[in-house]
This record gives sequence, structure tokens and C-alpha cells, in this order.
Amino acid sequence: MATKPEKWDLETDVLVMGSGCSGLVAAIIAHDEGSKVTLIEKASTIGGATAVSGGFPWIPNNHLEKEAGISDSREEALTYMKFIADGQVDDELVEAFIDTAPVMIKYIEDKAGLKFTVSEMPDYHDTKPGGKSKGRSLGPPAFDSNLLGEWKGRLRQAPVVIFPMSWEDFEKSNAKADPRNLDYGMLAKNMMAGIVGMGMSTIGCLLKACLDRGIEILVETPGRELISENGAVIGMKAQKDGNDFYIKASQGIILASGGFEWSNDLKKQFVPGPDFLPLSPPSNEGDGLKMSMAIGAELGNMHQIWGVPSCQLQGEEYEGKPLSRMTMGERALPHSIMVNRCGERFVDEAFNYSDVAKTFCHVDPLAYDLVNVPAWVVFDQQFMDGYMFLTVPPGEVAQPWMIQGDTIEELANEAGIDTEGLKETVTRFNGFANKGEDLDFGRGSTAYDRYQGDPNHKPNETLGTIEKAPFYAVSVVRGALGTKGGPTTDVNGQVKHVMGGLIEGLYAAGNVMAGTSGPGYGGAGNTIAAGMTWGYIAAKHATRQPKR
Amino acid sequence: MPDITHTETVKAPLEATWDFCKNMNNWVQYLKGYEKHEEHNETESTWWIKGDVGIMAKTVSFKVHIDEWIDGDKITFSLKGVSENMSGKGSLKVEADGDNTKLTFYLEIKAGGLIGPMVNAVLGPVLKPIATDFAGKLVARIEEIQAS
Ligand SMILES: Cc1cc2nc3c(=O)[nH]c(=O)nc-3n(C[C@H](O)[C@H](O)[C@H](O)COP(=O)(O)OP(=O)(O)OC[C@H]3O[C@@H](n4cnc5c(N)ncnc54)[C@H](O)[C@@H]3O)c2cc1C
Repeated sequence: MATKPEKWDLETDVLVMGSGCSGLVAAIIAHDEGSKVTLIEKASTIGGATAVSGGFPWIPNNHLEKEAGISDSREEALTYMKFIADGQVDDELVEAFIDTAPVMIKYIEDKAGLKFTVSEMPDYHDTKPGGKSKGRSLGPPAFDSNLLGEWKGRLRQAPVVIFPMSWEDFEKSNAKADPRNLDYGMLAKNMMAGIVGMGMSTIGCLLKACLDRGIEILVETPGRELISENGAVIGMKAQKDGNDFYIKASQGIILASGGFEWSNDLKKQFVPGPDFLPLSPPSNEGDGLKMSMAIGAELGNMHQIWGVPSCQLQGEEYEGKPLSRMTMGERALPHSIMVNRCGERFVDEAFNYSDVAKTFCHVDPLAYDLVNVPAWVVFDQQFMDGYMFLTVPPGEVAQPWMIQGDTIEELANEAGIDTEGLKETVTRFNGFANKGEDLDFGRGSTAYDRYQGDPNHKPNETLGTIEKAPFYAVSVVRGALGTKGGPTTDVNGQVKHVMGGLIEGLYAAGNVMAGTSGPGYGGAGNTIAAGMTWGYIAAKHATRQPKR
Repeated sequence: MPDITHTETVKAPLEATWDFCKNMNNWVQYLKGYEKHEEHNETESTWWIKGDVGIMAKTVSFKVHIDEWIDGDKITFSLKGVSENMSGKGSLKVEADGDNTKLTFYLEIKAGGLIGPMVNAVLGPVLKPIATDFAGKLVARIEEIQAS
């Protein structure tokens, strides 16, 4: 912990650390509540993991679903969210999220001009009590990044999720199952004209709202240490142009610096199971977590991540680090399965990525071994002809990172998968595919599964035989959109001290905090919704504090 | 199709400039993102280039064919992605300019396939810095040899 300097380099009321969705919403609210706000960002660009994401928030009981005539209620939302949190999160935190998220999203729409639309995407456990088959996941609009003026170049560029269009248009096109439905010439024109979509759009809109308000934003200014006095956090030592830079925050500091997925040390200390690939930008190294640990914060949910089965393609990098890609349709569309080294399927592949990724942690106690690591997505030429596999559009040639075989035996040998096991699995799966029913794992039995499948493939949108040579295998491992453990907070987003009580002047929002969904993932956008909502809550509370 | 033409003046006579440019092994390493190359014969080679298009970087290998080689004038080559759906053309042309030489570098790269238009949209803006950087390094190297 740093000591108070003789002179502060900058004085503000509310200091926000991190420019993802959590930080930007916190900054907007703190400003609108009448406080002077400063936001610092470690990277040279704005947006963090949010900018490279789908940009969806998941807001149960929101006003847009009501307008669309979709029924939802506080009670259903609470029932569902408590099921997702699995008893690992205080009920009052779950309630604070459920009660504030709809208010927050309406405010952001009205006052920050970020208008989402209702998506067709089902909740990740749509069949469970309180689960919904659509309405809670909200898709971002398209955004004209030219509106950012000289900040346009500061908008973080997404490497993978780059469709320069609204989610509504993307969803209508059914390009998820068949990318040939999109007009790539038009998309290229949009791109060159500065139109952005998905996470870049969500961040672009929020950044514009900050700029319109004249909120001070300092990039390339990493926060390093908290400074406290008489038990209250009063400021921060940051770094600017290579020098120490002391910032006083008279009402509070809101940590919004994302997860610790890029810190190998923290990952090893806190997250059990096989190592995982980070899918966020490399600046998410757990700085906020370490800063709060240094002043005695209580920690929670440290062992949980927003997991996702992921791949790395040789030679791809983002900001000098290997780029990891999430798998979605690769697992869920017809003509593909996921198997372990015994050649056995081990999960409903089409199910939500967060819970599917948990199966990589399954241990055989006798062998003292992770049975589902390594794993492969196995698919056939029908898949290659009809669907997109990561970077390879339908009908295009196989890539060197795809293991190939003219027969299932040959493929198994090439990949190092048990031959008999894989043959048996494929035969059995083909039987299920022909009947349209997966008797082993129920693939295609939920609305969520079917949404991820091909709506034109019948009788089951997610099941298709694996029978047309050549056959392919691609290695898939555990990845994470981010971690979700950190300082625990109260209902106001204020950080708790490990010895009891609260740390005055310190708040946390988003992936830096102990996630309020515990081990689970409610639906597409749960992470961004939580970040935005806790940013909103923390800012509201901080701005009500007397100035120190 | 994204393409770029870039001309520089080399403070060296045409013969010395051509002497350097005529052999691809002398200059291929000055291409931004160059990782390695293998020469298969007089006209065929493979280049491995890490292309940084701003939103991400990726190592791509190209089969390169020398299409035309006119002594004292120009070398023209074509590129084809080994596994990527990409192709292109390039040339280095020299012209006497008094005691100096005018060196013109041309490069065009085109991504094909379904998502080609989007790849081309990100490729377009990076060609100019690639060409400027390459030509600058080439000129510096030729002038360095000339001075020694
Ligand atoms: C491909 C992909 C798709 C995804 N899709 C979705 C989706 O559609 N919906 C959803 O809910 N989630 C999605 N996610 C997850 C989601 O992006 C993140 O969980 C969420 O954006 C985290 O928000 P945040 O504000 O907590 O952190 P971030 O958005 O990561 O922002 C943290 C910021 O803090 C900065 N920072 C770090 N340390 C410091 C420091 N010391 N000082 C100053 N700044 C610092 C970082 O540089 C970063 O800019 C996706 C993720 C990926 C990778």
C-alpha cells in the first residue's frame, strides 16, 4: 500500500479504474449524480474485454421484453438467478442485481443513448424454474465510431467478433448457422466507413456518453496501489508517462479492472483444474485484485471462471500474445461431436459453453488424471461443406491446424485418440443423429441447444451424422472469457474487509469483484450485465458519500 | 483489390541498385513481419510473413513465383497463400535518375472466398505502411553498401 503523497497530481471525487462496460457505466452514473469523475485505463485503448466481446447484457425482467410482449417477473428472475448462483452468493446480492439491472439498462438507454434490442437467445438453463426461452439477452446496435471524433482510434479493436452490424440484423440473417447469408461486400463497406458492432458498439456508445459529459479519461495510466488514511481509501498511486502519478478521490475509488486471467501466478494460486486460455485482452492481469488484497479485502468466488471450450490457431496473435478463439457452432451444429482421448463423448456439446467447459475439470481419481483433457472436436466433410469452422467458411479448403483422416481409424491415429473408442462413439452418435434424439446427453433437447444449431436441419437442429470423408479433428481446451473472483462486496458494491466490516471509499464492479452469479452463467450477457449493474450501484453509493 | 505503389530515390547508380534488387534473397527479409523464406529453385520460393493488420497478427506462408526478370529493369513476382485464400503480385523496378536511381515497389494482395471482402477491408490500410517501411529499408541498405 502506498503512502499519501505530499502533493496530489490530480484531485477528483470518484476515480474509476478500467474502461470496460463496468468502468464506463460507473463513470457515467457518478458524473450524472453530480460528482467529478476521472477514469484511468492501463491500455492505450478503451474497452477491455467488453470491446472484444459480443457486447450483450443479460437483463432479466427488462423493459424491452415487456414492450415485445414477453412475460418475465422479478420472482421468476430471482428463482432462476438463485438456482444459477447455487447457494454460493448471498441472496441480498442476487436481489440487488435483479432489482437494479432493469433500472440501469433503462437509464443507459435514456441517458446514454445505448439502445439494445431483444434477442431470440434463450437463457443458458432455459428449462429450469424461472428460465426463459428468450427476452433477457439484449443485442447491441451498430455504432458509427466517427462520432467519437479524435477518440475513434482509441476504441479497442476486436480481433474475432467483428461484424459491423447490429445484432438484430445479424440474428435475422441466420448467419450464425449459415454465414453465406451475409453480404460481406456490404460489411466491408461498413467497416471502412467506421461502423462497428457487438462489443465495440457497446463500448463505443458508452465512451461517447462519457465524452459528451466531459468526463476525464486518462489512457496508458495503470493504477498501481491504493492509498488509505484512517482506514478509508482516499486515493491511488498510478503511473503516467513512466512516473508515479498520485490521484486523490474524495468520494471513492471504483475498481473496474477486469479479471486476472492473464496472470499465471494468480491463476495457479486460485483456479483449480487444467490451465485455461484467456480470451480477453492481455491487460487484464488482476491488478485491481492485488491492490485490494494489499489493503485487506475479503475475497470470494476465486475458483470460478467464465469458461468456454476454446482453440488456438497456430500463428495468430493479439497484442503480441497468442489469440484464443471460443467455439460455438463448431460444437453445436450438425455433423460434429466433442470427444476425449478415449474417443468418448462426455457432454451435450451444444449446451452453454460455461457449463460445458466445466467438464474439462473432471478427474479420474484412480488414475489421478483429467479424463477430458485433451479433447477434440471431431467432424466430417458435411460440416465443412455446410458450416463455418472457426476461420474456415463453408466449402473452403481445410487448414493445416485441422487433423485429417480418410477414415475414422486414420483420424484417430493421427490425433492420438483411441481408435476403437472413436469408432464406437461415431457409430452410436450416427444412430442418434438419424433418429434425432441423443440418448446419451440430450443434445438438442433445450431451446438453448436448438438456438445454437441449424434451424434448417431436421429432425434435430444439432444432430447430424459423421460419415462423409475426409474426417477432421481440432484440439479444444478450456478457455475463459474472464475470471470472476475478487474482493467481496456488499449490496452497494463496497468492498468488505477480511476482518469484518467494509473498506470505506473502495468499490468493485465487474470481473474484478467476487461474481454475483457464483459458479453459474444465467444467459448470454450475464457478465456484462453484472459489470454494468455493479458499476451503476457502486457509482450511486460513492457519489452519496461526504467528500473526504 | 488492395494495392500500393511506392517510389523512392536511391543515392546510388542504377547498376548498384539493380545488383542488389535482382536477387530476392537480398531483400525479402526487409518485408515487414518477415519470419523466414525457403528458396526452392531460381523462380520458386516460400515466404513466411507475420502480417499485422491492426486488429490481429497472423503468420501466413506464401508460394512465390518470379514471373519476370528483366536485367537492369525489373523483377516481377506473384504470391499465393499456401493454406490461406490469398493471392497477389509485386514488383521492384529500377530507373536511372541522373546519378541516382528511382526505385518503385508495387504490391497487391487480395483475399478471396466468402469473407474475402472483409479481409481486404482490413488489408487495404496496412499496405501503405508496409510499402513505405520496405522501400525505406531497401534504400538504406543499398546506400549503406554503396558507401562501404
Ligand atoms: C470473445 C468474447 C465474447 C464475449 N461475449 C460476451 C457477451 O456477449 N456478453 C457478456 O456478458 N460477456 C461476454 N464476454 C465476457 C465479457 O466481455 C467480460 O466478462 C466483461 O466485458 C468484463 O467487463 P469488465 O468491465 O469487468 O472488464 P473489462 O471489459 O475487461 O475491462 C477492464 C479494463 O480494465 C483495464 N485495467 C486492467 N488493469 C488496470 C489498471 N491497473 N489500471 C487501469 N486499468 C486497468 C483493462 O485494460 C481493461 O480495459 C465475452 C468475452 C469474450 C472474450
